Amino acid sequence: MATSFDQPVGAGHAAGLSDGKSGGAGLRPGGGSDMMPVRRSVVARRIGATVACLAVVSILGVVLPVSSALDLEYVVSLALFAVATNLLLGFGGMVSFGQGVFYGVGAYVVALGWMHHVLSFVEAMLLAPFAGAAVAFFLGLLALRTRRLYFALITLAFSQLGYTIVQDQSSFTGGSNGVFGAMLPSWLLDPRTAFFFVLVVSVVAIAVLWKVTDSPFGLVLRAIRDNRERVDAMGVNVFAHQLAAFVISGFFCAVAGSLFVVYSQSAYPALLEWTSSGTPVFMAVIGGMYLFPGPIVGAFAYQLANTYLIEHTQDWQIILGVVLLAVVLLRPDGLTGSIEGLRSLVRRSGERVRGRHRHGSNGTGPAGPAGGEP
Amino acid sequence: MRLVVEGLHTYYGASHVLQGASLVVEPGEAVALLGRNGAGKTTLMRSIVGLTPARSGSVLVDGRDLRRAPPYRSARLGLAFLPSGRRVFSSLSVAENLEVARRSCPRRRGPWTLKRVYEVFPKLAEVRTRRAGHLSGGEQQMLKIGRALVTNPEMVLLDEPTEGLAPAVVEELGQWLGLLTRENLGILLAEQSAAFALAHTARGYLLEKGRMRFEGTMEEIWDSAELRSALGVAEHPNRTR
Amino acid sequence: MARFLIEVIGTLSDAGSLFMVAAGLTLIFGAMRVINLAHGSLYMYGAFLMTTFVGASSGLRFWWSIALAAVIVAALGAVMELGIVRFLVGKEPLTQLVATFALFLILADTALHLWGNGARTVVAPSSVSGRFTIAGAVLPVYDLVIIGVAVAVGIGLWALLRHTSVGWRIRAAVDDPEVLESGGVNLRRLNLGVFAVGALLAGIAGAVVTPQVSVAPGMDESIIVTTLLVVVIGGLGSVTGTALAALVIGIADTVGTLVAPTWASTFMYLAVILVLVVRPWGLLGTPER
Repeated sequence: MATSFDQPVGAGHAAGLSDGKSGGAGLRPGGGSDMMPVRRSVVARRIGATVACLAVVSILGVVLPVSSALDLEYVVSLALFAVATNLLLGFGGMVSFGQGVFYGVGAYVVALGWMHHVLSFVEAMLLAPFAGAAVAFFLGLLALRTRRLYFALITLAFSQLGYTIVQDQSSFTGGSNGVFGAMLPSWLLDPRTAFFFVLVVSVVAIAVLWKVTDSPFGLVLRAIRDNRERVDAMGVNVFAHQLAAFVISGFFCAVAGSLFVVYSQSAYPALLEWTSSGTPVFMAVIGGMYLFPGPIVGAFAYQLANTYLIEHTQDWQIILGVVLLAVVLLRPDGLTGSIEGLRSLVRRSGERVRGRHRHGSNGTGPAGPAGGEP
Repeated sequence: MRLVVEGLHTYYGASHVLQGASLVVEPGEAVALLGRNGAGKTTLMRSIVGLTPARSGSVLVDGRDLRRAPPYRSARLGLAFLPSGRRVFSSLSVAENLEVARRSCPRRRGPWTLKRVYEVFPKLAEVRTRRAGHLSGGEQQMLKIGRALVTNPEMVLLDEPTEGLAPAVVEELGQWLGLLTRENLGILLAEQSAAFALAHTARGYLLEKGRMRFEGTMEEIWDSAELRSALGVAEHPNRTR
Repeated sequence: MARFLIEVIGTLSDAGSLFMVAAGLTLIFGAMRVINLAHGSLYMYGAFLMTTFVGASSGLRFWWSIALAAVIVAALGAVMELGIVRFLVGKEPLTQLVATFALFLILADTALHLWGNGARTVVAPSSVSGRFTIAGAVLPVYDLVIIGVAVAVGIGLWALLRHTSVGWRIRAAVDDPEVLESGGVNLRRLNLGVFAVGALLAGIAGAVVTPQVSVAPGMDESIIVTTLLVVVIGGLGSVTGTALAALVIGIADTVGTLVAPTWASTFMYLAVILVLVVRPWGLLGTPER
C-alpha cells in the first residue's frame, strides 16, 4: 500500500514535525519535487500498485467471512476519514482536532433522515456531504481567525460543542442513546453489497482528494503551510484557501460519516466527541502525514491493531499511547516515511555501487524531514 | 578568560550554517566578528553559548570544552551573551530584570553589584520600577548590558547591538563598550555596521558562508578593497578614534 | 435575593475549581510553551487518590488526604516531565497534542487498573458538609471551602509570581526562555519545577472537589475540555486571564442553566466563540508571533 503512490506531499517541509524554527523551508513553487514531471514508468508503477491493492481488498471482501469483511469495510471508510483529515494536517499544516463534528454530521444526516422519515437513504447520502461542508464553512469562518495551537484547541472545542448539542437535544437526536435501526434500503442489506458500496464510494472520494492535493490549489495550500507570510505577500488570499480546504475536508469527513451508518446502522453522540476527532489525526500521524497514502496505511495499521488487541488485551489504550509516543518522538514522518526513507537509502547505496550519480533522489525521494538531511 | 573556537559545524534543520568556523579571543581583548547578513554571525554566537549546539568542533573556555554543555553553564563560567534586538524580560520591571540576572549566577562575585550598575547607568535607576517592555530602545540596550554586568562576566558576546538604534544612542553604546574594555572584559562584537566595529575593536574576523574568510587587524581589513566589498561597504569610513 | 445568592455561590464554587485546574495548565504553557492534554488526567488522579486515602473515615484525615493526594500528583507530574514532556519543548503543536494525548490514554487505562470502573464518593467531614442559611438562602458549606481554597491558590500564585525570585524567573521564562537560559538559569530544572507546580494545582483541585462529584473514569476527559476553554479564552499563559475566564465560563454555565436548560452546556461554548471573535488570542493573551 505504501508504495502505491509515492508522491511526496511537499519538498522542504523540514518545518513539519520538527523544530518549527528551523524554518528555512521556503516557498518553492515549481521547485523541489512538487512539480517534477513524473516519469511515465513511475506513473505506471503507481497505477499498477493501486490497482493491485484494490484487487486485494476486493478479493478479501469476497472471500473473508462476513464479520471480517465488515471489519475491512469499516477500515476502508476510516481510511477516507483519515485522508480527508490529512488534507488539513499534512497538506494544509492546520492541526484540526475537530473533524469528528463533520463525521458525526454525515452520520446523523443519514440516521435522522431515516428516524424522522424526511429523507430517503439515497437522498440522505447525497445530502450528508453538503451538510458537512456547510457546517465546516461556518466553523471554519470562526476557527480560521486563530492559528496553530489556538486553531487546534478551537476545533477541539467545536468537536465537543457538537457532541454536547447532539447529546442534549435528545427529542430530535435520540440523545445519548443515539439512533439505531434498520435504516438501510433493501438493496444494501447484503453485507457483500454493502462492502462494495463502501469500497467504491471511499475509493472515488479518495481519488478526488488525491486530485485536490495534486492540483494548483493543493500546491498553494502546501506553500501556505511552508511559508504563510511569503504566500500572503504574493497576494494570495490565504484565508480563502484555508477555508476552502476546511470545507473540502468537512465534505469528505461527512462522506466517511455517512458510510459509518452503512457499516453500523447507527449514529451516536460519541462520534463527535473530541477523542473521536483524535482518531483520524492518529491514523495520519502513525501512517505518515507527508505522503498521500500515509493516512490509509495508518488507518489499516490502527484499526487492525485495535480489532486484534481488543480481543486479546484490556490495555489497548496503553499500547496505542506508547505507539503514538514512539512515532511522534522517534519517527515523526510515520510508517510511510520510514518505508520511503529505507527505500531511498537502498536506492542511493545501490546507485553508489553501480557508480550512477545522475538521478539523485529528487524524483521520488522521501518527503519526510529525514529526506532533507545532507 | 580565553575563548577558543575550533572548526565549528552547525546546522539549522538541513542547512549547513557554520562550516568549520574558528576564532580566538584573548583575555580582555576586543574582537569584531564581521560579515554580511546571513553569514552565520548569530549562529556562531549561539553555538558558542550552547543555544544552537554545534554538531562538531569545540568551544574552549579557558581550556574547558563547552560545545555540548547547556547554555547556563557558559554564563556561570563568566561568558555573557547579549542577543540582538529587544530581548529583555518585557513583563518584569527593570529592577526585577537585573535581580533575575544577578541570581542566575549566584556564585559569580565581583565588582558589579546592582548599586554600581545604577551608578553607571543613572537612567536605569530612574526607571527601575517600570516594565522593561515599555522602555525605549536605548534604555533596553542599557538594561541588557546591566543585566550582563551584574553577573560579573569575564567576557561579553554582543550580537548586533547597534541594530535599530538611533545614531545618538549608538554613540552612547560606544561609550559603554569603552567601559567594558576598561574593566578588562573580553569582547566579541558581531556587527554588520563595520564602522562601529572598527571604532571599538582592534582585531576582527570576517565570516562568509559559515567560514572565516579573513582574520587580521581592523586596519588590514579596511586597507583591502576586496574585503571591503565582501562586507558591502565601498567607502573607507571616517575613523572616530 | 436568596435565589440570586445561591446562584452566585454555586457559580463561584464551580469557577474556583475550574480556575485551579486551568491555572496549572496555563502556567505550564506560559513557561514551557507546551500544551498538556493529560492535565485533566492529573486532576482525575488527584480525585482517585483522595478516595483511596480518605477511605470510610472523615474528620482531620480528610484534610491530610488532600495534601497527600496533591503532593503525589505533583510527583507524578515531575515523572511525566522528566520522561516525556521535556522532549516536547520547542516542538510543533501537533507533536505536543499527540504526545500528551498518548499520555492521557496511558494514564486513563492505568487508572482503570488501579481504581476500577465504578464510581466512588468521598464524604466531607461533618464540620463542612452541612448547609448554612444567609439572607434566606440555604447554601452548602462545602461550596465555601472550594471558594476558599481557590482564592488561597490564587493568592499563593500571585505571591509566588510577583514576590519571589523563583516567580520572577518563571515570568522571565514566559517572556524569553532563551535569554533566561543563556543568562545562567538551568531552564530544564525550572521547567521541571513549573510542571510539578502545575500538576500540584490540578491535584489539589481534583482532591478538593471529591465531596461534590462522583469520582469515576471519564473525569479526565470532561474536565480537560472545559479547562482548555478557560485557558484559551483567558489567553494561554496568563494566570489572571485564567481567573477571569473561569468566571466567564462559570457564569455562562449558570445563566445557560437558568435560561434554557436543554441548551445549558452550549452557552459556555457560545461564550468562548464570542470572546474569540473579538480577541482571537484570548482575553489577556498576546497574539501569537
